[in-house]
Amino acid sequence: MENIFTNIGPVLMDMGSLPVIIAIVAGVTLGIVLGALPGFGSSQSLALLFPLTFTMPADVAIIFFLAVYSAAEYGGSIPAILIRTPGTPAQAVTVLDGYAMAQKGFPNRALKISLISGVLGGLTSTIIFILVGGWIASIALEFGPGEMFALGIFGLSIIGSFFGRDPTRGFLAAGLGLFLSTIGTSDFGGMRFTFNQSFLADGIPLVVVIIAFLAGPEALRLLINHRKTIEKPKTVLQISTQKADDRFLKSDIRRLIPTWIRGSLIGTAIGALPGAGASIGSLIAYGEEKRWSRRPKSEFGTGVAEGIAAPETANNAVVAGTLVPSLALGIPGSGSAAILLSVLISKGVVPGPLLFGAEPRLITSMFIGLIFINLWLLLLGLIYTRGFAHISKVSRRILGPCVFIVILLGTYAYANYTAHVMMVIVLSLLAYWMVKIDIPVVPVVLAFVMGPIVESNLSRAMTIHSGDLSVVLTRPITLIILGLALATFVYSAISSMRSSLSSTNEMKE
Amino acid sequence: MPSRLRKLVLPRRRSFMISIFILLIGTAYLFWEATQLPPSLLKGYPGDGFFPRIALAVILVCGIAALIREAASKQPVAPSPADDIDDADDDKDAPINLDVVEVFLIVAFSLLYMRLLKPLGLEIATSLFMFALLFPRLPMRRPTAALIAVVGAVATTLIVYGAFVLGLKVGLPLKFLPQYLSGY
Repeated sequence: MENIFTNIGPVLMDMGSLPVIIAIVAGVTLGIVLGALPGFGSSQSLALLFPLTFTMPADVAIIFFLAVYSAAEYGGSIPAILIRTPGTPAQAVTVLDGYAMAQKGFPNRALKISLISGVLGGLTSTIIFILVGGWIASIALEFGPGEMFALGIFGLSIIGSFFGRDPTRGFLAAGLGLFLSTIGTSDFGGMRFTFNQSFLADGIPLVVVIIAFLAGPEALRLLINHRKTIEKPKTVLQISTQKADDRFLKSDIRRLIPTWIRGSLIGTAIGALPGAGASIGSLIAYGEEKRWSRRPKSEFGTGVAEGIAAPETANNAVVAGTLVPSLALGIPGSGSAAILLSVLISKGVVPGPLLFGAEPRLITSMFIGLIFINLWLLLLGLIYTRGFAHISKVSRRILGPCVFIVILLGTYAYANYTAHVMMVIVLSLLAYWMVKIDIPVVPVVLAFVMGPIVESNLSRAMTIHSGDLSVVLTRPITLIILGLALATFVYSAISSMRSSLSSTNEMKE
Repeated sequence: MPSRLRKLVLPRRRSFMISIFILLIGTAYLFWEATQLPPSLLKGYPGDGFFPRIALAVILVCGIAALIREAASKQPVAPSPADDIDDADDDKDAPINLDVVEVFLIVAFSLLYMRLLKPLGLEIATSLFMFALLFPRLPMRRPTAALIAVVGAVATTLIVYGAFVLGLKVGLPLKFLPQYLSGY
């Protein structure tokens, strides 16, 4: 922790450097634009922009990505408020009160509540991130390879349990991700599943899996579904509908303080849980706001400020919350977190407990960077939020080819290797089909990121203990963590069985 | 026949079960492959095949469980078709609509694009590829659509060139545009 604070001065100087300012401004702008596009959540946006980081230094790349991530979480609220089309699933709740408020003649007030709430959520969770992240990492420093292996299994158990319609599908996808991570040369030099194909010798690059499974299905869907569709024209609420006092009011600040606190805490906690994410964060924050607010429940959905502030605070607080397990333990909790970790890995930085000690400057950069990103988001949001509403009206027929060409060239740019593009095409088709038959694709990416970490820790632990797995698995902390993993699995299996039983009963009735 | 392939409607449940069945067969073969990997020479190291076997076992167990679960569950009542094509995609009980011809065309164009990227250069290959994708998607008369597609394709190529080659200094194969822009 001390290392982090001693780096604050130099990092603050970095924040004023031209590359960092360009990275933040470009990241925030691209994040808002992509977040405002229908179907593009933060993970799709990050996957699409992943190739842009190839030539950036590690600290600039991570600042750029955090800017995109934060801004994309906010960007989706603009079309949600102005044209009743949430850019991301996380903004589905914002539509309820946001659009209602805009329709009453207060679109600017709704947009500003959303922006200020998002920024405050982001700032609060950043402070929590640095305090809690450092603490968790210091505890995890005591862990050996056996405990880290158990931690990986715990992460996988959560990922498998909470993605998708039922745990079997989530675990199936996680298994696929683990298997894909084993293709190519192993840590000990052996070749696995290459079938004498030289292009498989180095395995499947992380960038290929990220682009294919996160950006690929959406690109194919846009290309295939919207070939000849007639799109209904969407209208952005016009200035003429505005009321005279359509602005953020001083009284809003006093009224929304408890909402911001609740939303920030909920968003950070949900973000720190692997598998949850911004959609669940905003949904829970909205539900809790209805429960705790002094306002009658019946007023929610009619355009009240709390109904916009709660989900928007939470979905931006998720960003820093997500960083806690990702950086401190090396467990990415969402597709976006997996991509953030991938950027670090691609720059030779290993996420996990050692990161806080080994790269204090990078951690400080993230911490200070997130604060600056939120301030830039506030500034840029105030300047050009309303103009971005028109982005969501871009025809999907045109969007599809543009996204697809970026995917192909972005993959090619990684190593100027055509085989990587072929892999992306094949895996994108697989991911597209998985989405069609309702198998979640995010666990594939998360398991692919975690696979090598889990395998290397297992191999190291077994080598230390002369191949005796029982010694590895029965150490006290390992046993506790594995017990938690088992409890997570059992809990998710029981809740899934309950929900399918209740739906069967509903069908009978 | 092509028009039928453009509007292929597949029962979702059966598609899921057949897909999982094929996945299980493939996984079983890969599991056998994993057992054939050479044992470790290093004392204690479980061997290169150990972890893949765990991953494949997870797929096998969960695949079988998913199949049993799907077979045991009741067939949902087919809902009425959705107005919006995206809503139809999101409905997890409705049949799967698939445009096989479009999938085939996209894959074929992509492979051709990658094949032609080096010989034709980024400029021509990207313009042709974008034209091929844009032209059939523009809902207007053919000459107008062709003109807009040409403009769109050239504009996209220039944006891609600016972003990847000039901005990010990525070494993409170029025919006539410069790799670097310099004031000298």
